[in-house]
Parts: sequence; structure tokens; C-alpha cells
Amino acid sequence: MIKAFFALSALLLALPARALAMHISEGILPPGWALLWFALALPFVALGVRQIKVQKKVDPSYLPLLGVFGAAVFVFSCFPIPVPVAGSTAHPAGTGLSAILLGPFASCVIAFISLLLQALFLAHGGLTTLGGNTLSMGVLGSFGGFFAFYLGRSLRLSLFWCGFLAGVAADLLTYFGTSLVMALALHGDQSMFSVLGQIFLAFMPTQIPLCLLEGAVTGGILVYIRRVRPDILRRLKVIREVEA
Amino acid sequence: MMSQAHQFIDAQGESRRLLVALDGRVKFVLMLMALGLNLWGARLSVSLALLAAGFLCSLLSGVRLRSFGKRMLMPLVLAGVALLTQFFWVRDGALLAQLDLWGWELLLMEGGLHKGLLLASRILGGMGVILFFSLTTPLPELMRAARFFRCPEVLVELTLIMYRYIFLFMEEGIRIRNAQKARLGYSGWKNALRSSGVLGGMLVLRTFDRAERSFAAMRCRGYRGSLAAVAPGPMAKKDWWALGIGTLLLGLIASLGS
Repeated sequence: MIKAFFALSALLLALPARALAMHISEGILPPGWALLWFALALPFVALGVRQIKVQKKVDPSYLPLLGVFGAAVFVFSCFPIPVPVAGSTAHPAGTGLSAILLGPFASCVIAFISLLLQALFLAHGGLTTLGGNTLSMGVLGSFGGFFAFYLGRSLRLSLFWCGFLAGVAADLLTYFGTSLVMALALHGDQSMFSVLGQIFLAFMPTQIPLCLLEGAVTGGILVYIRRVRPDILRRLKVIREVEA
Repeated sequence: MMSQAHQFIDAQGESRRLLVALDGRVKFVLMLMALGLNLWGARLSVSLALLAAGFLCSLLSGVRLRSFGKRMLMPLVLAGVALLTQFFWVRDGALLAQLDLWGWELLLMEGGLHKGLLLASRILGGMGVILFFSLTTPLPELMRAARFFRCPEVLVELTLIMYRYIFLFMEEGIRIRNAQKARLGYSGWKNALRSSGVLGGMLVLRTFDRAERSFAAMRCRGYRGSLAAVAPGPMAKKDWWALGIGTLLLGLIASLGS
């Protein structure tokens, strides 16, 4: 297993930098698994849509705000961050930031749309794998990031460290989810846990630095906004009046 | 690349070529059938035929070879990785070759090769189909089709707003990044990290202001909580013909697998 891990690591490090933003490509998942992941991810997206509908009735400016924020998070996730270990750049997931700013359910919806647009226009991910990708990036990433942020808040950590925890948790959980979805479908004659370990560990040389970087950048963004425009964080209920 | 894709696809929307001007609903249904066939067909020949069909239809629609090839590059790399991983994970069938890699014995089995090739062809076949669809269908057309098939209104509206602003922010982000670089941002790793945080923060700030301005502009143009869009009318005769011919073609491809 250790040899297989090193071989896979070498293989993945040899890929172009863009491949590090890992989405499961079209055609990888067999039909049964593709349908199952859709069935598991869609309730979260549906709940998100319902929540947005309710919020839109209360505040008609909510939908444009959500759409424009979603676009900004999408763009942020497309900008490369230098990864010192791999000697290249990688792309942040952005779900930690969107879950903090928009809430986890709305973030699932934003992730679903982002993945759809990425599959269509950038050939990253796919349509039959949209369920699997939404579950790992949208559901696990958003909820992981959201709960990590509030865990940090309840421990009275500074805003930077709360954002850092959210970025790290969202990134790690996204990759764990992707590895799990792939391992379940592709383990062949090997044990599923062994393949899961191989895939997850193979991504560690780049993922550990990337998740730390994403955490630092997410924390940095929150601190920058609080310094320059604290009213935005108050309106989005990220911080309380007294904290600004 | 994203910005170029947007300009290209929107320009394609004006095209009167038959394959481009087809009703979005027809293309949507045919794409779903093709993707389903790619997964359920489970044959190398089926997936490769779908790749060839997607490629030929794209060329006939005026998509340049370079444009198609550039977007296929990443799926091609992933198909290669998928093929290799199956050598590690599937150990059935006859032994085809035995390699000695740094003292580690790698066995190439028939089952692994077969599964790997199938997986790689499914990736390429599926992406070929998606690329034909995405490179010849502007997003508003796709969203009209989505509304027709009862996709929630909120999801359609949100997708259109996001699509509208992604390119704008992409250009804005690049401008901020260039300005940061001109002021010695991104020089050194720590500085690059700080610059990335400021870039993200600036994007959020500008986003917020732009969202408020957009909402005011939308209100001035009559927005009362939902976007007004032209509902798709009945399909033209050529669209029914296209649906029939497309289904026939997919049936022929499916017969390759039987």
C-alpha cells in the first residue's frame, strides 16, 4: 500500500496545476453510484432553494446579493494560490468562505451552480458526476466550514482563526468526500478502505499546504472586510454589532 | 479561458447553423440520452462513438478544432490517470505484462487493462458530448429549457445572475491582481499569501456594492422578485426532425454495444 501511495503521489504531482482543483470527471462514476450521490445531494440543494425562496419574499434584494456573491466566490476559487511544496499553484474550494457569508444551505446551492458552470464551460467535473461533486464540495465543504467557523466563535478565537478553521475544514472535507466517492466506485478488487486511504493520502502532499493556505486566505479576507467595511459582515450576520 | 468561452458561446448563439440554432430543449434531451448511454452502454465502442459524434457535431457547428482540443486536454489527462489507477486496483484476468519499477513489481492484468480503457473512454465520450452541447448552446437558452422541464425558478434566476457577474468579476479580479503585481504584490511567498487575502477581500467589497447597485437597477427596470423571460413556444418542425434523427443516431450507437 505504501508503494502504491508513493506511485500515485508521483502521478498526481506530475499533473498540471489546474488538476489540483479536484472534481470528479464525467464518466468516472458508474450509473448506480451517480444516481445515489444525486439522491443524497439533492435534498440539501432543495432545502437551500426553499430557504432562498423564503428569504427572497422577506427581502427582494437577497437574490441579487446571493447571485453576485456566488459569482465572486466562483471567481475567487478560480484564482491560483502558490503552493510551496508542489512548486506550483492550486485553486481554493471557496465553500468555507461562502458558507460563512451566505449560510451552509445557500452555499450548497451556490456550489451546485458553480459546479454546473465549471462542467459546462471549463470541462472540469461533469454532469453525471454533479451529484457526487455537489455532495463533497457543496454539502461536506459548506457544512464543515460553517461548523468549524462557529466552533471557533464559541471558543472565542479571533476572526482570523475562525476563518482559518473554516477554510481548512471545508478544504479537507471536500477532498475527503471526493476521495470517498471515487474509492467506493473504483476500488476494484482492493479493499475500499485501502483505496480510500491511497487516494486521500496521495493528495496530501498538495492538499495539506493548500488547505492551510485556503484557511489563511479565508481568515485574511474576513479580517480585511472587518477592517474596511464591517457593515457588510454585520448585515450578513457574520459578526455582532459590538464586535465591529 | 473562461472569458473567451463566454464570448465564443454567446457569439455562437447568433449563429444560424442548423446544429447551433436547434431548440435548447432538443439539445438538452439528446445530451441526457447520450450521457445515459455512455454510462449504461458500458462498452468501449459506444463511448468512443459518442466521442466521435460529439467531435464531428462540434466541428459542423463551427467550433474550431483548437477550441475543442484545448477543453479536452484536462479530461484527456484524467482519462490517463483513471487508466493507470485501474492497473493498481483491478487484479483479474490473464497476466499481460510484468514491469519492475524501482524494485516494485507491477503486474498488468487483462481485467485492469479492460476496466481502465473502459473508464478512460467513458470520460472522453462523456466530455465529448458535454462539450458539443456547451459550446453550441448559450446559457440563457439552456435555462429556458431548464424552466420548461420545471427546474425551480430560483435556481434558474440565480444561475443567470451568477453567469452575468462571473465574467465581470473575473476581469475585475485580473485587474486588481495586475495592480497588486505592479505594486510588488505576490513577490515572495508570504507576500503572495497576503496579496491573495486582499484580492479576495476587495472582491467581496466590490461585490457587495455592485449587488446593491444591481438591485436598484433591476427595480428601475421592473424587477418585482422574479426575472421576466420569454417562455419557449412550441417546437419547430426542424427541431422535431433533429430530435428524431438524434435519437436514431443514439440508437445506432447503442446497437454497437449489443
